[in-house]
This record gives sequence, C-alpha cells and structure tokens, in this order.
Amino acid sequence: MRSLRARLFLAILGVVLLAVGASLALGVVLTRDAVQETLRSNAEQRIQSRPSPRFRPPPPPPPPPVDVLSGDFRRYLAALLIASGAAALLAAAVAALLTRRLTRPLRELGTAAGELAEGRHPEPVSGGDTEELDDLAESFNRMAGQLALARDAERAVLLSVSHDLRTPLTSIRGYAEGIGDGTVEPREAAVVVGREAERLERLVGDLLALARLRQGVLEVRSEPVDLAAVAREAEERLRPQAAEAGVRVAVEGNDARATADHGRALQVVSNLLENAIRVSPEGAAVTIAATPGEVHVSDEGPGIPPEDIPRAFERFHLRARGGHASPGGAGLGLAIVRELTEAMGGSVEVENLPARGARFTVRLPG
Amino acid sequence: VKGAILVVEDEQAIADLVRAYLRRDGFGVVWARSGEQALEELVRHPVRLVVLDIGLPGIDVRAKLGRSDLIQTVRGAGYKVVA
Repeated sequence: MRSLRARLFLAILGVVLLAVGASLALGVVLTRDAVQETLRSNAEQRIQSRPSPRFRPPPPPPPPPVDVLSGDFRRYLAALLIASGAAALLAAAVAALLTRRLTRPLRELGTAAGELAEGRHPEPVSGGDTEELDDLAESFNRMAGQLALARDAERAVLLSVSHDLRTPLTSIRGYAEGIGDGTVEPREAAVVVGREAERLERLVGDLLALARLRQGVLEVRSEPVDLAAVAREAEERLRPQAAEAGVRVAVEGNDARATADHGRALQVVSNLLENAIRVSPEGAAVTIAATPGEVHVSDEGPGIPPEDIPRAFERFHLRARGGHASPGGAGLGLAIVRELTEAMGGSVEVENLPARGARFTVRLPG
Repeated sequence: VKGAILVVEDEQAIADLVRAYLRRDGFGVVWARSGEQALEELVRHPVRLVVLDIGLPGIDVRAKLGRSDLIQTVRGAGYKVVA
C-alpha cells in the first residue's frame, strides 16, 4: 500500500476504531459493575428494612453476577454496538474527506512538478490551508519561477549565439556565391571572408573559454604580478585595433602589485581594452590606470544605460541591449572578464563617468 | 537605372553583397544601417522597394513586425509589405 491518501485514511480509521472499541469495552465493563452495585445495595436495603430485630438476618446472598449475554443486557449491548458502528462509519466518511483534502495539494504539486520536468510552465500551485504544505507550495512556485527565468536566459543565449554564428556564415556563403557568379571581386571577397572567418573563430574561442571557466577546469595560478606591466602588454597587443579605430590608448601607473595569474590578468585587461576601443568614437582616448591591486579602464564612449549596469557582465546582455552600438562585440568579453577575475579571487565593476564614457575597475588580491 | 531600392541591414558585409547583386541587375541602391536611418532615407529618396533585415535593432522580431514604427511608416507612405 503505497498511496499516502490510503495510509492516512487507514491511520485515521484505525485510531477511530480503537477509540470506539476502547470506549465500548470500557462502557460495557463499567455499566456491568454499576448495575451489579445497584442490585447489591437494593438487596441490602431490603434486608435492613425487615421488621424483626430479634435475630440477625443471615447475610444477604450476593446478587447473581450480571450476565453480559442475558436478555436485557444483550439488548443494551446491541444498541451500543450499533451506535459504535454508525460512529465508525461516520468517522470513515470524515476520514476519507479529510485525507482527500489533505493530499490534494500534494497531488497538484506532483502534477505541476511533472509539467515542469517536461519543460512546460505549470500554473502556480496552492498549499491549501495547511501551513507546511503552503510553505512547500510556495517554495515550489519560487523554484518554478527561477527555472522559467533560467530557461528564458538560456534560450536568449542560444538565440544570440546562433545569430552570431550565422551572420558571418551568411557572409561567407554569400561572398562565395558572389565569386562563383562573378558579382564580386575575388580579392575583395577574400578580405571579407577572411574577416568573417576570424570573427567566427573568436566567437567559438570565447564560447569554449567560457564553458571551461564555468566547468571550473581552467587552471588559475596565484603569483605576484605587476598590473602596470599587464596593462602595457595589453596595450601592445591591441595597438593595431586602436590605430584602426583612431583611438589613443594611454597607460598609467608603475609597479602595481597584485596576486594573480599573469596570463589571465592579461586576458581580462585585453578584453576590457578591446571593449573600450570598440565603443570609442574616432579621436577619443582610452586610459588604463594600474594601482596596487586595481586596474581601471576608462573610455569616452556612450557609457552604459544605468538599468543595464547590474547585468553588464552577463553573457550577451549588453550585446542584446546595445545592438549595433557595439559593432563586432560578440557579447562574451565581459562575461569572460568576470569569470576570470572571480577565479583569481577578485571582483570587477563598471560605472559611468560624469562627463561621458564608462570606467571598468578590476580588483585583485594584493 | 530601373529604380531605387532601399536596403536596411546593419551588417556591412551583407549589405555590400546585397548592393553588389542589386547593382549588377541594374537597380539603384540606397543603404541604411538602422531603422531610424531608413526612415530618414525614405523621406529623402522615394524608392520602389525596401529590403529590410527584420533582425535589426530598433525593428525587433517578427512578432512585432506589424506594429513596428518603420513598417507602419513604410505602409503609410503607400508601400506594400510583402514578406
């Protein structure tokens, strides 16, 4: 018997039957004793009221014990049994209703959980009027809500990734066809195909890096690092991009010590610098300032809408929000920055500058 | 020149390709990078056809297609939305 409802029903019924049985037995015994007592005292009274005081009367014979099966008592017993039976039946009906009512929220919860498992969005469940079940239902509803959010986020990421993968592929295929039917110059097409392939490569690389970070399989070292040296290295790395975009990059700071992984810190600062260059208008300046335990990357771009700041480091968030305001950004750079920084025991934040632009601050253990 | 076509597409490479094909076939091509720019271009150049990337920011997804400002304006200007 594995149904909770059946068990509850039997438990309640068992208790009721026990109670009825015990009352019945006790009632029979007590009534019998009471009847005997009455009979005995009646007999005594009869003897004492005899008028002859000269000789002692013989002690009265004890009244015959009440026979539980004798006529009058039997009728009394039968009535008692019928009443108990009726009470038990009534109790069973109440128990059935009660158990159904108690277990209904559980059945609803089970159905909803099943729907959730199949990827549907179940209606919010209610726990009925039981405090514990109400708590359970509330937790379940909260969980279902969180799951729905996570699913939506996952779907958005998937959409972004497929869009970002498809766009360069569309170009590559289109230009290949263009070469084939002589609509575009092969030399011109080669440049585009090469650039788009590079974009794909970068995106796939970022996705892999992020997946590895999420799995925690990436090895992160803890060693003394000079963040100023890291900043200079990042600037060197991105000098061609800065020159192409017409953006000046200034590196400030000397001997800025921190405990980090040199390679990972370089990737963090490079990603931030690449972002800064991408959002900068031509002729603007980007500054990387290194102090002990901190690196700041400031740009003169459009800044980040205040409502996006809390989610700026989520995968594809700014990409989805910014649209072509951040051309070429795959939307993974900042997510990688955060994962790497946190893997090194640090933190990263962004704020808008009073005049214009944004400033990213990376803090690493000293 | 057969007539002007407005190409709305934010990806330069794809826009270049579409332009190359349309020019090859003898159409005049106007290119807009965004929905807003497309609206400006429509005011300036009357065109026969608009080729619109519906994934564009400012235009949004298919679900909003009928309601998008750009589509409304394009319709209001007497163009027919075919797909």
